[in-house]
Amino acid sequence: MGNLQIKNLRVPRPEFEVCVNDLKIDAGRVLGIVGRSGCGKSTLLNAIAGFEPLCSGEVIFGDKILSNLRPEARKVSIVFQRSALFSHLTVSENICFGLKIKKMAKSQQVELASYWLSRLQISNLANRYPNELSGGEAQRVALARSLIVDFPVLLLDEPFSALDTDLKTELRGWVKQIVKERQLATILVSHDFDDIQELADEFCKMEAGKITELSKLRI
Amino acid sequence: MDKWRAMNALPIVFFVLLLPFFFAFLGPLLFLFINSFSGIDREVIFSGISARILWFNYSQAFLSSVLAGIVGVFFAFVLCELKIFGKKIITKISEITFFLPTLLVVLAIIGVWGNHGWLGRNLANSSLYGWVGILLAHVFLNFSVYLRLVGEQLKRSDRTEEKVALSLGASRWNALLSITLKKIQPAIFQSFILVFVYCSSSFVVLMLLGGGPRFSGVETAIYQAVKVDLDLPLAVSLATIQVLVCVTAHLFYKLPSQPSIASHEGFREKLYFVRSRKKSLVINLIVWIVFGLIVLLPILNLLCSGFSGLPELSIEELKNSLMASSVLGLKVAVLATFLAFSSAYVVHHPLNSVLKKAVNFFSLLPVAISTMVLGVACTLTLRSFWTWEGEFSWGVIFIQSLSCLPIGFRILSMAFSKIELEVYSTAKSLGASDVQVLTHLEMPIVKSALATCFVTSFGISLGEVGALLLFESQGNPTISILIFKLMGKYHFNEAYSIGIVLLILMALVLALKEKWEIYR
Repeated sequence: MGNLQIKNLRVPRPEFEVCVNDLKIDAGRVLGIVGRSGCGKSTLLNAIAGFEPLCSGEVIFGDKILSNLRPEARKVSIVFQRSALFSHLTVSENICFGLKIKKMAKSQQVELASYWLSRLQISNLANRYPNELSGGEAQRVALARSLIVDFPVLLLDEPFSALDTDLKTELRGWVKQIVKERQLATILVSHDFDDIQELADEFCKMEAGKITELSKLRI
Repeated sequence: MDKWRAMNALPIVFFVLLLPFFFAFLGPLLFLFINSFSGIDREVIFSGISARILWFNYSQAFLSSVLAGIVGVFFAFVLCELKIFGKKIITKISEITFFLPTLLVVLAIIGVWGNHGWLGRNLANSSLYGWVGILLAHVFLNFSVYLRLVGEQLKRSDRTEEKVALSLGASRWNALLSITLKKIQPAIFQSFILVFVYCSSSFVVLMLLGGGPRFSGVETAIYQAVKVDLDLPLAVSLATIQVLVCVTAHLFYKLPSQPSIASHEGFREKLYFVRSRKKSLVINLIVWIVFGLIVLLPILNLLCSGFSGLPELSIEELKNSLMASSVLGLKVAVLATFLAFSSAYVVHHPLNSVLKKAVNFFSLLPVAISTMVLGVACTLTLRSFWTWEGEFSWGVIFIQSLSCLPIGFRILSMAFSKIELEVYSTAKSLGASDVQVLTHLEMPIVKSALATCFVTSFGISLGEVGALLLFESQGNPTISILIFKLMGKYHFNEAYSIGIVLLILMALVLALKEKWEIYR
């Protein structure tokens, strides 16, 4: 497993430029980013995933320069605040979407899907459509969909902000466990410092596109 | 420039596929302009005949738009704000009126208000043919545009301002005039522009209910010039002015600064309810009388007359025309759906913003260009560059598809705009390529919109006559052309019977459209 590095990254924004000079996230660790709305946290995640144009800089995983690749080739999975489930597909079809794209055998898809469905305790929802799910259920499906593809980098863009406290605690637990187990290099963006404290190994503060503080929470 | 966006080739592919069609659309129009302003036709434009035609055409369009507005806004308000008996029936039937082929509407109006009609026979010394018939038909066809746009605006508007005004002592009448009316002004304006464009391009209504040269409009004069008088310069001049007026009006459509549909959609209180039982009864009565006279009676007449005339029908002729209509309708539906999908795809994907705006503009432009005008432009171009005479079946398909494009484009654009950006990002992050996003995500998500676009185009093609009359072939006539010809020969019973077949087909089309709209 490699680590995720961000070097001299510049992303243009109308109000300011998002600048990250040097950031490194090791496999199996979570970097939390906190900051006010509009400070550039989501822009940074979108830039890493390949959805924002870069002025300069590089995003590297292991020895591979991700910033030269198209988003679909980067192997960076992302979970948004809005679960962004595919409305025309059932829960299990949503979860298998990435596997279907990879053209994995149907039997393997079913096997993996049932593993993740039971792991996130949503087996009973397998045949439901997204409009039949609650916010918490939808977010679990979104998590399962991102984890099933087994990409080494996981980006979480305020995934718990629309959930109630109990659900948040439960989901944080799942994520923490899976990140360690699968050795995922993870970035978590959140408004809620509780999310950061619970999940992150280190955290940084972002202000007007720049990282102002970087501290370790766990060694 | 973002690397992945730069490599996104699909919108460019669709744009390139659209280009020949846009050239085929704009080329003849441009040629029409060049020809018209090159000098030889200037005298024709300013001749007395042209001036009379233009004056009548645009004044009837203006008056029709105002009258349709009065009826439409009245219905929008009472249906949204007041307790009306049979509200759902009125709403449903009103929606149907917009999609009914003009020929059927003319037949229905003659059946009620004509000299031998249900009500017309009792009205001494009055003739349907002329202003009365034209205005009646245009109100029937277009009041639902106001009803839909203004009604949606009313339904979605926040009521806080009105509540504040009432709490400050304003009467309900004051609140209505000073606040609610202001809110619906953009929707009224946009509806007016749309209806004005539709009425300016009216052909069948003016041809069949005009009743003579005094009531000749631009489209009927173009038809007469091309097919009867063989006076192409006059047709070209009139078509040019028609394009200028309608495109200018169409440009005004986007003027209102407020969106016609408010983004807020929440619980809506009814502030203008009527407390008195007596008043409520009177309002209900007025609504049903107006609706009955303008819409319900003509539709009922069409149904009754149609079924009573069925024995006179030539089955063979009907079968052939049904087949011709269906084949043409299917070809039009396929092409229109392809054009609408490609345009909507280009507009909703990363591409140069100027190109996106251009595609958006050209996809909506056919609203302002009638099939007759486009037909003249194509005729002129074909005759100038090739020794062409007569039939042009692919031209009919192309022109009809273009006339369906704005509606199809709107349907598909709405479907595309509902796909959230995060959905695309998630699919990409899971490894889906552009083609896979298209085939696995977008196509399944917009499939009901595609189906709606397909059946709507099919339905529009069924009732269209302008392009068909201009490029008429010697083969089997379509249903609409058959009705048109039968009416021309005063064989009204047969026309009614075939009208009923067309009505049944349209009902099927509308039912399918509704089904898919609900699914979407």
